Amino acid sequence: MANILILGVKVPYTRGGAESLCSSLASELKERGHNVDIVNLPISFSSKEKLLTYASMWRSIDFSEFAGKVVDLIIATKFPSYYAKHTKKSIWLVHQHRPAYELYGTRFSDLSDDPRDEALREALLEGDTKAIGEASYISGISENVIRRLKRFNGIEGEVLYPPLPLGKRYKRGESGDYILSVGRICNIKRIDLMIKALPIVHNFISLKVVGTPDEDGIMEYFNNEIDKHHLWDRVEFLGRVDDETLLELYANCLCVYYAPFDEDYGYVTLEAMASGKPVITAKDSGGVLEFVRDMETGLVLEPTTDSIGHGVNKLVENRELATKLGENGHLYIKGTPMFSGGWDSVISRLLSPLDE
Amino acid sequence: MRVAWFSLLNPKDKPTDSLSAYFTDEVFPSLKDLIDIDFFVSDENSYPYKTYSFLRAFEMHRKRPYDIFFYQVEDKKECDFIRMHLGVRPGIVLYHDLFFKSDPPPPLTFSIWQDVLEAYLAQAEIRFPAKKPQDFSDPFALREASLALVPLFSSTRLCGEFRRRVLKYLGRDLPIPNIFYLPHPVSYRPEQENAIGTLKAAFCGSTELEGRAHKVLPAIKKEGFNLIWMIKRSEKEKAEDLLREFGVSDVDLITGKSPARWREVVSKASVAIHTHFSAYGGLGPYPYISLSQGVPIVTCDFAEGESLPDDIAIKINPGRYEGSQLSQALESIKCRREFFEGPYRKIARDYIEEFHQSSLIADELLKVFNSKQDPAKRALYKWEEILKQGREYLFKKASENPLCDIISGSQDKDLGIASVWSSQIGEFAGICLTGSEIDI
Repeated sequence: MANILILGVKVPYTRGGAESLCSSLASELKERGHNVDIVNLPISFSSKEKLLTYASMWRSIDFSEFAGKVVDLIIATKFPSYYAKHTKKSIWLVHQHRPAYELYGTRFSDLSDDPRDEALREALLEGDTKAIGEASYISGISENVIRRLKRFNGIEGEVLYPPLPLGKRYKRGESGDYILSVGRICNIKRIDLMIKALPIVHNFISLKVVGTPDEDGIMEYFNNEIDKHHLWDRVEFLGRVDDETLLELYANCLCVYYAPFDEDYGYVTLEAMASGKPVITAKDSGGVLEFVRDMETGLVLEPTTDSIGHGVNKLVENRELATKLGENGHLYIKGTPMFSGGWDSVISRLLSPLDE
Repeated sequence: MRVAWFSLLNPKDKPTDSLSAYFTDEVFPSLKDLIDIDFFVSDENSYPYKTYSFLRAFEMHRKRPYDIFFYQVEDKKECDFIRMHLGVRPGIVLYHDLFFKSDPPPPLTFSIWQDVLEAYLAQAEIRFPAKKPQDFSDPFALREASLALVPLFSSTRLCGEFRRRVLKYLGRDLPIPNIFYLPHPVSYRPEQENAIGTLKAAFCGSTELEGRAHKVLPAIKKEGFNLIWMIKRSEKEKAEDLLREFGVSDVDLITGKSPARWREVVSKASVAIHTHFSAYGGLGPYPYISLSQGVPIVTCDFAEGESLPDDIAIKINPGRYEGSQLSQALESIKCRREFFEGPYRKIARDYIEEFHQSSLIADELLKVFNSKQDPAKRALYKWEEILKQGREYLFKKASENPLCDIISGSQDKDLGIASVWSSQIGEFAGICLTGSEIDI
């Protein structure tokens, strides 16, 4: 039995896949008899200059012992938790500070050519290379995350796909008349594309959005689009829902829309597959494309409203196709360790520094 | 000499219509043994050269400094990363465009480049504005043009625009005031010539208004030429509409526009038409490739076309009489076939050999690199002062922490943790902001 700390980073009042990952990992470790706790530190992205302060906060904490117990291993997840120091540090990388990496130069980054921004970008890249590079074991939650790490920091790592948070509880249901979107509500998730595509979609089809906003002004923007296109009866924001409700929503939707820009991994994709639903995604959706194949398990479309609208209509007009794609996805996911049995290998790799 | 080369590149076996990718392919064979070039890109395509992510350029520069940062700028979204980096470490810039159709990448609309440039030129402190309003004011690449330490241009028209607009904007001399015209490079690779005895017109204008297809197609039909039309893949539908509209049926429509492809295409023609007319874009290397294949060209008496010698180009004026002038030009090709299929070929090829030969252009670029290496290095060194100011600002901000304030306050001084906290900040900043190897 080892004393293990999982290091999480939390934007207060929001919840995303990383939080599910930390709590699932903690439960699985406890089931295997380890003494586990999750350490979360808050972060805010409203002032980019403060990012170094957050990193140095992690760096300044002595993780060697708490409450008379020697900490045997820390498992860091996302930026900047991996700045924590420990003789045995495992990293299961969710993502780095993406605006300084692959999002740099896009509308999803707030870093410009300002010398202050360049200093920050360089500091983060060098700091990450050093802090991640010093770990005893390095892994990431998808091929996409590991490829970025190699490309931008020159660091190799292993891919450990996180198993589904609700295990075998996903249900199969009817093909309903709504599209489901699950996840944090922010620009990079591109829910606006689906909202703006709705006028093209058959008018008896609606959109249900599960998740909470975590960007200033995003709901005003969405509501403006809804007003503009008279979509008041066709878009429903459900906020956070409990597990049972979520399982029902997945089970009875027409399809799941999940087309973020260059996503790291995306639990939503796998949850849709586990519920036997086709996934509508985009050609530039990153990690999602490690699982969704066009016309096999979903539709991989251009990230435009036209393309997405017509894609949804294809499924509305051909429910057999929707069912078939969903069925293919279900068959696929059932055969992977993400659906069952995956935690053993994940945990054995994350705990490997303890064998040294 | 070490050069950091920022450019679009042609993926392996997939030529594109990028002018900077074409330029690179043409000059690299002559440069590769003379200078040490590292290519920086923003994507993960497979290229014929070893490439690095542009985000790591600063790190590679710190470990083993580059003598020159070389950028190629053109009006393409894919060039955004080059435009971004140009403001971070200026260098020698080859402009293929000075007007941009698309908006800059969003972070650049908040750029404080004017303040930075002003501080650089005056060797003064940057007046960092608290918040910069978003700026979409001008499609003209004023920022990119002003930030060049040595500006090079692939068209004579751009040199003029630069003189008129950028120098006027700055109201003073540029850091290195020389500007150079570096013509499009063309390597003469003879293709099979089967144009003799045929009436085939090759055309690579876009389907947009500035491509002038609406003037070219009626003239081609009227004069009884067969058409070979090379377009971008995305233009296929529109091209087919235009062909239907003007009743042109004998057409070889070639999709996938690129200079490399044009070389094959144009060698099959008895005339090449290059009549682009717009503030945006230009003729590119296409007319020069046509000439290198000995094919007579019809071009606009405008911009780059204007500077071509009259004995190798038939020039027309855009506008009201454009259609009839095009017809006349095609008529003259038919009437003077002996000349165009005989002596003209040598005149055209000699011209290209004298002014556009790839090895010659590579040599010119090398001369620029050699002669401007020291001033460019000095300018880059001076620019490091600008970056240092950014680091100092950041370090100061990172140290402004509520906890720091509390522990440095008089009532908490005896807690004794102030120094620990400060050392953590200092340690972190030490690693990240100076790149020094502190053992953490």
